[in-house]
Amino acid sequence: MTDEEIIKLVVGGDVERYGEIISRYEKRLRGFVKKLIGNNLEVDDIVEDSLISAYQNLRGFDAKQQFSSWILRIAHNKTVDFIKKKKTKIISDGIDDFKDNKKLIEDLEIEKENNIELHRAIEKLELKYREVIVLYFFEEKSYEEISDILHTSVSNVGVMMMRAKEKIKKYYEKK
Amino acid sequence: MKKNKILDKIKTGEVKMKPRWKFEAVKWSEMGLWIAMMGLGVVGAMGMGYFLMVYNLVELAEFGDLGWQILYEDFPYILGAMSIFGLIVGVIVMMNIGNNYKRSWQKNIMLMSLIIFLLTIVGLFLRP
Repeated sequence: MTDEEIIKLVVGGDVERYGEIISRYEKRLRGFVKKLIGNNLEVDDIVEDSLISAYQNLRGFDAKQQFSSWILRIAHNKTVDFIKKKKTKIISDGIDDFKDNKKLIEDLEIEKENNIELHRAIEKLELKYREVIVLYFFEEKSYEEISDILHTSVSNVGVMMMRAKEKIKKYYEKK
Repeated sequence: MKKNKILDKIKTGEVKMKPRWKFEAVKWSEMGLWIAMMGLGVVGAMGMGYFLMVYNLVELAEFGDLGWQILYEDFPYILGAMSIFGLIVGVIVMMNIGNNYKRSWQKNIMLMSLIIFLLTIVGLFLRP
């Protein structure tokens, strides 16, 4: 059963089915938020807030859109709110996963052995650039879907991706 | 486990789904605000257009510096500001409506300006 079909049932009154959505997205949202703000203690709270907010706004979900993009947008908003409120610093050990992404390493044309440097380079990126990298390489979203999540034009997603890669490469050149 | 915790909150009614009318209300109020801002832009542009039609630029030019001074002094700057305000806020509101965010803000500004321009022309020249 697709997410969109489950949502229809939940909106229709079968609220128990929302448990399936939570099971499908809890881990995924945690991974997404963790890659953005690191191993912060409040990752779990942001994920819970996102899942609750998604439920509260289910009637506003446009079935023409992908549910995964919609819920990632909610998590993105909650994360941005959290960063603004707490003015938090990214904690580095939460973004270890970057080194295991083959596609990212190949795309950046960097040496795989230099994991620590990749880790540091991504850690230094501003949130908007890190987010594009995470959505494209980890969530495997297309530019079109990223534009839906970040509410920006597809061309701007392309520009942000290009700048993010440039910044990572520049970091490598300096080293 | 989050699943049980959230489902409990849903079942006890602590967390409720917002009614559909709330989303419709937000959608229509955004649309209304956009139309209002466009109206502001059109009224401002029409006012300036009307001013330029009354104060004939060719005639003013014949008076040299004095003619330009009259133009500077009498120009309805408030209408200009109104029109620019309507355009800027209109574009910001427009980018929140539907899928307009997919277009770059430059394209949205051009589209909004074109709509204001066309409505101004219609308002100025096609009056009964």
